[in-house]
Amino acid sequence: MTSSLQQMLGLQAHLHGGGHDAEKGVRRFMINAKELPEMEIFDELIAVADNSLVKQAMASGRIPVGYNCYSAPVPLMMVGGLFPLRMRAASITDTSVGSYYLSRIACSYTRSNLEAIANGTYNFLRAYISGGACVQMIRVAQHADYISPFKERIENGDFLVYILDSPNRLSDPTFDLYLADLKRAAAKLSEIPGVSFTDEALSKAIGDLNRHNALLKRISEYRKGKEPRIAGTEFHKVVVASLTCPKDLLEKPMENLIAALEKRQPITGYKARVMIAGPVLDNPEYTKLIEEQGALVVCDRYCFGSLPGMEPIPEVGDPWANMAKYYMETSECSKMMGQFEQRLEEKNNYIKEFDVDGVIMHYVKFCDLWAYEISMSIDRFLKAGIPAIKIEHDYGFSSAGQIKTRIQAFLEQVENTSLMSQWRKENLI
Amino acid sequence: MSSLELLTKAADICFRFLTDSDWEQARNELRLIDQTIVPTLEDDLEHKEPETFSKAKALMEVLTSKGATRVYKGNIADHIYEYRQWLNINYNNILKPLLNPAPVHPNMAQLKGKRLYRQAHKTTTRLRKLTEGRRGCTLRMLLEWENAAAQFGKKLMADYILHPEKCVYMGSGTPTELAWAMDLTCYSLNIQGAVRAIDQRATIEYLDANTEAGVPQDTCSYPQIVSGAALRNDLIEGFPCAVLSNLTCDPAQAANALIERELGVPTFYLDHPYRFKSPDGRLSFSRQLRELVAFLEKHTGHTLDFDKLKEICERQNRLQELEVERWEHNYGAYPPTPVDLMLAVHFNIFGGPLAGTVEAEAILHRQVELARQATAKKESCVPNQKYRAVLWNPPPASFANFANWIGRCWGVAICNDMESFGDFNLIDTSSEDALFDSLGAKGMNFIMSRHTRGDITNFFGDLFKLCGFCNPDFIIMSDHVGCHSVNTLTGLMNEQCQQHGYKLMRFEQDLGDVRVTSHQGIRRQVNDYMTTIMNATPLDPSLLVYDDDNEW
Repeated sequence: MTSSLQQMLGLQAHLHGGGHDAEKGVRRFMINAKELPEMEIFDELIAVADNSLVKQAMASGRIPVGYNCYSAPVPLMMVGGLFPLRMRAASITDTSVGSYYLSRIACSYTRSNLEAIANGTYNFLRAYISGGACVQMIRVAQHADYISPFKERIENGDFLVYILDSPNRLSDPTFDLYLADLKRAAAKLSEIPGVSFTDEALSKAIGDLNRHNALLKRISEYRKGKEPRIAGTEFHKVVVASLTCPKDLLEKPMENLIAALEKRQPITGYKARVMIAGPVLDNPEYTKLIEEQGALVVCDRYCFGSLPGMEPIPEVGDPWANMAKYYMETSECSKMMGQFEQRLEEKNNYIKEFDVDGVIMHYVKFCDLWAYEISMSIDRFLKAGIPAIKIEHDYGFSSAGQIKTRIQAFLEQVENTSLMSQWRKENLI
Repeated sequence: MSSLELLTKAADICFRFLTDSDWEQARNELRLIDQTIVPTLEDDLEHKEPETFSKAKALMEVLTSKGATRVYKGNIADHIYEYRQWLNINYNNILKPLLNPAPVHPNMAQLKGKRLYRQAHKTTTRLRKLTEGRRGCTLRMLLEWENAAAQFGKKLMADYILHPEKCVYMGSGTPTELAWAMDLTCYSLNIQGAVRAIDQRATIEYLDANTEAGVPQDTCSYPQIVSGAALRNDLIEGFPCAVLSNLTCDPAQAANALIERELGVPTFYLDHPYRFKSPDGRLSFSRQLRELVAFLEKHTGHTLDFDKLKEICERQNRLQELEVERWEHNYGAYPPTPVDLMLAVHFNIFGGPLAGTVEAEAILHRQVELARQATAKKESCVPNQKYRAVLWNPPPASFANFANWIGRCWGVAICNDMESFGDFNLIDTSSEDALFDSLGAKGMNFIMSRHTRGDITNFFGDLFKLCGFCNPDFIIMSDHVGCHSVNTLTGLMNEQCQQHGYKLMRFEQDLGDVRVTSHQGIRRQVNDYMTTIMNATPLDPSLLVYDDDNEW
């Protein structure tokens, strides 16, 4: 063995503290993260829609409001006794009702959601705010008027649905329309007995959300740096819980987790740090599958992810305008026309901030809005020398074998790119 | 050599020019032919009609004796009329511009290899598909439209080539009226889709370009045609800016980023609100239109002539009234306008480059006049009409002669369709504010999106309103497999039709890709429905199954 080859192998073994174990001649395929008892509560909370914290909040007279998109501002649903729950249907395996109404060639997220509505999973909700980002999600909200149990509840005045006119372009006219529509949505929510919208109440909701997001950001920080302490799967569970539980009631478990993470040993043994980007991904099983292959997911830019959205909403000035501006300007949804370059730049910033080695762009089949964005982004990443891959999947957890194989191959590619880069730095090649 | 043979030879030369031959050489060859062709054509058209008449009669006898049922044209007068229009379209609008003695403009060079223009020589096949079996007023409407459209296309082409600095790329749902009022010429990106109607396989190359670029194939193929044309460098280049919008649907909106990247010019985006009928939505959109004017002024140097805009909008109002009359003729017992023509005229006048033009007014006047004549003569667009239907959702555009086929095979006359039908918004020209507001409302009421966007009642409300006008035997639902906006109404469509007491024929098709559902695949689904549900007997059994997979 030549000395330069020995040097190369040595470097390879020390990449991210693991990977190829040169001494034993074996490969490690699992990241090394000791299980935390503080995570158990999050596992329980994301298992069902009406989890223990939701029940606790409802028992104290608070009112759950469902929503389905980043374009539906969360503070709007935190005013008074309201609390927001992002609607997901990860446990749905049979979408026969959803497929009957929406057709089998509709996005499986929307089919699963309609199925969940039809089978009563979301019957505990009092209202449903649709973000209006894509027509398929809008259709789900529109079906509430036609199918049980929401149909009867709407007729009885016991349930309300509002579809937001969310903008597809950054401009003054579209901002004004969005702002006016948020106020209309608030007026609609005010029809619920006991709910009253005032500037002060909205300001308080924004403050509450900012505090919650600050906690989330503290947890997110443990993904960064050379010694990450939280795995992507764990963080994904925390984010999903954050979106599907009353935020104030989740603060204690989040603080406990922070305390545990502070003491935790850094995670080692991963082959590469990756970012996942794309449309809806609310099933941590996908993240787990990716991490089981040896990747560490350190960054998430997808619906039900944490980026964007952890930065505070300004608390000085008109709370309505602050809220509308925040959700309009921070949206990284591909529906925003003329913003592709900005979105790409934002992803590149994440790559630097989270020290990402490769990008996994995921695509839920039949998602129109992300169809072009993903291929264009991958093209640009590859041109910039950043390994990137597109993984196509259904919303429900499926095609695990295929995804596994593709991720394994991708990680080989990432490792090779990293090694080549290191070798170049060391003048070995 | 007969005029037909001369013209065919000339068309060959045109085709060679558009593909690989030397322009000057082609033009010299054409000039030689022109010296012969012009007098021959003039003789045919003006002086030798009896001879043409006898030729046509003999031809028909031969065809009939050979059992060529798919080629009958009605009576001898129809034959002569069609022949004359065919010559007009081919000679005046396609060949003659190339004989222009002016020096060759350097921009002509970029036309070479552009697929849309390579299709020009296929007009004969296109006309045959559309006119087969049609007669009387219907035949005249159709050919006059084709002729007028070709003439207008010729005018646009002259601007694209000679004055690219005043041309603007315009996508779906963008107000062409504004462009005309600024003395700009619209280059409608959707025109790329027209190639499907000429050659069913012409778009496959564009769809493949998207696949190669990584675009998933489960998204609508229609916007992929435009983005594919952009990827294949098949759009005319050199215009100063582009205007795109979020219409007509999510895939079209998503494809904008790719189109913008490929065009590489400053692009303005119009955002049509979800609640496009609300006062807030109208205000937001009219403000965006003012931003658009500023954008166009900046990038083209042209300014808005408000008086001209007012004149265009007033003309557009008159066109709306004419269009309503055209529809009303089709609600009678004998619908004179075939739905393919209904849509083609409507799309170009109310959503395309013809909007508010003098040419549009002349075209629509003539169409309505012929519809009046047909109604007076009780002449349906389907000679042996047995059933009436309305067509919902975009028709199978790659199967350009679908309406013609279903009429001749099953006697189904389609009265109107989703793309053509809808509410109209008259433009208030009393003040600048009122004009922008109502022009915005008209723009948001764009073809297809007026039904597939916004509240669910936009889709079903207009369907049953149209059914109320037409009293159809059944509704034809043309399920485009890539359209998630309408597919997501699949279950409700069945339930709503049942509740309103209408029979529903559904067939699957792909708007831009015949590999997904072939013509025969569509015919099979229709045949099954007509046989099993309607218990119908075909008027022409030879049309039930035939192979046209490889036809243009």
